[in-house]
Amino acid sequence: MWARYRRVSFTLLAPAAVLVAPAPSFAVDYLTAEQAQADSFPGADRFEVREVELSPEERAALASRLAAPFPRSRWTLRLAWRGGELLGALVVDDVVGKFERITYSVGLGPDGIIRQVEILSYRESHGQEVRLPLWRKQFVGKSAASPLRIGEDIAGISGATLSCAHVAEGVRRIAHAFPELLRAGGVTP
Amino acid sequence: MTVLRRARPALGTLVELGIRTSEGPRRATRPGWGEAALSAGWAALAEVEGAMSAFLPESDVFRFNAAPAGARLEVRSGTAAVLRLSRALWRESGGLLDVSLGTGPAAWSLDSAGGTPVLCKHAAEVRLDLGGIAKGYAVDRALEALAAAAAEAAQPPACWVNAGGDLRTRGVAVRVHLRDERAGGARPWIELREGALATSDFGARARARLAGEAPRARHVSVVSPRCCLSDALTKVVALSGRADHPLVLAHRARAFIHDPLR
Repeated sequence: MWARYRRVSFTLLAPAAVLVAPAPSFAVDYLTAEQAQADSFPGADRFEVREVELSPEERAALASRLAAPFPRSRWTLRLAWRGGELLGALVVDDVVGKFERITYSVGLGPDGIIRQVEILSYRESHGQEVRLPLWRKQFVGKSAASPLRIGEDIAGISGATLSCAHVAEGVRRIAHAFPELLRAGGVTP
Repeated sequence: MTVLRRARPALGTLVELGIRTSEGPRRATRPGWGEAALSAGWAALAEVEGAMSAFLPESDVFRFNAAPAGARLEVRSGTAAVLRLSRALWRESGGLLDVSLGTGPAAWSLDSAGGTPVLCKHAAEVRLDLGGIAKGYAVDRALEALAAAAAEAAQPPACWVNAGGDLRTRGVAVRVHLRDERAGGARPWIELREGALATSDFGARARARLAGEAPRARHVSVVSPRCCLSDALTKVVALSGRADHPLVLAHRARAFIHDPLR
């Protein structure tokens, strides 16, 4: 009975998914946030996720310090602990370029010093759907798939203008905001 | 097949390292060797960037550009290797490939007589920019680091490195998608089984620079045995507008002009 329901729901859902989610023309998932935090803080025995929110005033102050917009208010802090000692935190963010969307993580020590930057996923798209909410929404909460994969065929992209400038700006934003993020998360390093 | 695949921002672009960590019958290897191989790959990239970036004050290139005329600077062996290749390609290309970007191709020389290579600056205004070759060289070095780690773990080298389109693979077939620089997206293009591929774009808003002359081809790819060579030859092809330039043939390379200019 259950099997039949599953089959029915699959056939109903599949075409709908195709309609609402235009497929990116090129995509790679490298790491999940969980894998990135384990990679960035190999000494941690425990990770704790805290959702934090920056007030409009805090964001305005950050924007003026950075001399650049600071649009994002809600952030997820993944705190890395060894016993009672805070080893640092991982922050995941994404940036949208002209044709690509890149999700990346920044691992910072409690002193705010960047320990590691990793790309979690890369999405290359035709045209403007990169900026459409629906196209973006399909990736929310799924920086997906294990980097250890069986039977995968390997595809690479060759281009010339692919720049890491957006990621570099994002990393700089996070590094500046880190003390505020820790404070908003109720953490005193 | 188990594959480890990671990407980080480096060399001004996104760099991907990949290594196949198992194949066929299970071999007795140290656990975690794949991760160690990736670390060695990142270290090799950082070393090349640290030596040849024009923006890092400790780099050989930065020190050369800041030095007065008559300066003699000890440089790292990697920098010397890239400079030697640059000099050879400058001669062979009749001056088309110029890492001084027109500021004085004859105003620098490399003196390797005393063991440690010494870079000599003969004019105050000469500036070096190894961007056109060093990225490919970094890819080669990272690939060698990955392959060496595989060999140490008694595995057949099966790895690849992709620095935003400067790509080299050994023992793994990589399906290459060509990025559309104007409309976005990427279309399946070729499969690279062994060797190196570099793609450059010399359009109006492109990041790549050429000395003086206007390019005769805008969007160019070159396949050759080494990525530093592929990287350098894209400039020769773009400037000459010839996919069959004698230098391409001499280096057993193959060039593709995606978008010829008239």
